[in-house]
Amino acid sequence: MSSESKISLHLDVNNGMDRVTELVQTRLIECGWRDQVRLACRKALTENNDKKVPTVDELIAAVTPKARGMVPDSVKKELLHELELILVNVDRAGYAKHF
Amino acid sequence: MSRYKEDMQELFSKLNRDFHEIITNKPLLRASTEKFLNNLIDELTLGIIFDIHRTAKTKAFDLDDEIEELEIEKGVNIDVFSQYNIKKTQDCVCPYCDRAVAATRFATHLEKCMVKSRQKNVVRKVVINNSTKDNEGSYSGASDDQSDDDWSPGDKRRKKKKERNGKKRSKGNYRHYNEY
Repeated sequence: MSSESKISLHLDVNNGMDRVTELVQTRLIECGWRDQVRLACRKALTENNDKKVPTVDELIAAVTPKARGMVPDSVKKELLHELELILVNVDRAGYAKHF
Repeated sequence: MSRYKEDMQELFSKLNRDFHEIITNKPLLRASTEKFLNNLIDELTLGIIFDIHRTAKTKAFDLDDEIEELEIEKGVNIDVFSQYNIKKTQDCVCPYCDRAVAATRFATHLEKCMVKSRQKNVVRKVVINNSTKDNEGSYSGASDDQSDDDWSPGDKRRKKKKERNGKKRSKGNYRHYNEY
């Protein structure tokens, strides 16, 4: 089991997954990342001159590498810090306390 | 029942140990959270991509509209309210000289243009009158009274008026040149 899936498993067990995803999502929307990705998607759609809509796989191949780079470094650092804080707090409060 | 409880407790204590190991190992924690965050970001991008692909497939939006939106983002020719540059529509065509004049200067231009055209008309009338008078004079001497009118005192007043107008006009022209 990879370390990141372990993290998600532990978060899942402790009912923290929703909270974490919501936090990441709102922060990314706040910094305008979502709009940027949307714009990149639309550009990828319009760049294909032969009026066919590109397949999902093509879109993913075109946009995903860009999208990762679009996240501002400061936001990423902040989110990492908060995630670590949440994990440490879960450890401190006691594992699966709410179960 | 008790065995189930025991199993669960064992499982949880295992998970707890595992979790505690990750938390205490700072570099591992950092690396795994980073990977986890990247996975989350990828998930969110996938969501956006699916959403936009669906709207494109079902033609929920016109691609032309999107191009317009892109133009708005770039700020090409469109103001904040997504209207095309108003300056283009601000030219008015003068009915007298058929020139395109900026709307802000149109009133002054129209005034001058009308005065000019009126002058031209007056000059034309005078020329026509003179030519007709000459013709009449050659046919009969009956136009003596009319030619005498030129020397009547009333005409002096008219001349004075004309001079005044001329001065005004020259002033106006001077201003006009100063503006440019």
